[in-house]
Amino acid sequence: MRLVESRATLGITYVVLFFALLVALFPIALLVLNSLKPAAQIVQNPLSVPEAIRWDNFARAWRDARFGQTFLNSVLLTALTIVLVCSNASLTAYVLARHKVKSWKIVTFYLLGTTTAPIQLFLFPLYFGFARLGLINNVFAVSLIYTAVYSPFAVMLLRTYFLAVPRELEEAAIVDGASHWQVFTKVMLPLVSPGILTVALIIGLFSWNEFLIATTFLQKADRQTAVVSFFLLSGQYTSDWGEIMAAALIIVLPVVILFVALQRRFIEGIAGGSVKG
Amino acid sequence: MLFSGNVEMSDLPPFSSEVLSTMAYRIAFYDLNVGQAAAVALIISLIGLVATSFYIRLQAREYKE
Repeated sequence: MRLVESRATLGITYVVLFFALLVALFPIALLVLNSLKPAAQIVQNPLSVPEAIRWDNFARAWRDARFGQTFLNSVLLTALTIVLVCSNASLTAYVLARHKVKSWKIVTFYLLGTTTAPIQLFLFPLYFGFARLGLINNVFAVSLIYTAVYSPFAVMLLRTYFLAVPRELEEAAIVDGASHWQVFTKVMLPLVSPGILTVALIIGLFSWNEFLIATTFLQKADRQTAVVSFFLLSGQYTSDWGEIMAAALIIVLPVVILFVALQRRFIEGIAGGSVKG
Repeated sequence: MLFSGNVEMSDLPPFSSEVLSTMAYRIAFYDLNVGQAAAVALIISLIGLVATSFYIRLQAREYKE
């Protein structure tokens, strides 16, 4: 299929896209460039090309930000949150999309309300409650908070994926004697797997980057997440910018690799051609 | 504070460039005055509620059409 566009429209499109690309890539290019320079050179001119490439920025960043430990914490926290949110949200979204829940309007309003509620509203009571229960510095407890915060959004997103699945597939499975649970696990889940992957990626990105909750609830040095230990690199009076840039690059890298690796599945269509007519 | 050296620290009173959420955080965890912090948080959510109500009203109008 070819869309008929005039040459001028195409030209303008490419020019606009080129500038968008520039805006998107320039900070990243700057990050890579400056992570290879000594701090003094960055302060002098952040745009200059490095005279001598300084790989030791990365080694110092890894050591000073204790990434060996904090990366493990971040990975554990992110993985736990993804598993909890996906299992929780897919079940909820399926019920909200398929079954005539009488109070679904109230439930939807509740979910929308919780996404708009500011984090500070429950941050303070939660912190002092957790302190009483001895759950501070507990990665599992923090993943529960993330699950509670991110689930409404995931439910809203997944619900549209469940709605897009033709009802006939479900009915066919029920006619063949499948139970509700089997319909969910054997029919619905494989069909919405691109949606679940999308949710997993977005939630993973959110919890990998999350700062406020992580810095509040995980204070002990060996429980901090990568982003918090990265933040602690910049001192109040002096900052080694080369080292900080290198640390930022180390944090960004796994996310970029993940997105590039899953890009094809990320944009895959759902249930393509499963029902004719 | 972040760009050490270059930025002149003007003679503004301390915390005058604060926003509501950082103010709530400071009151809760530095002054340990949780009640006051909760009050600030409640004001933040009231502002959010006003914005949300506008949004929902717009959405409802679209559904009716």
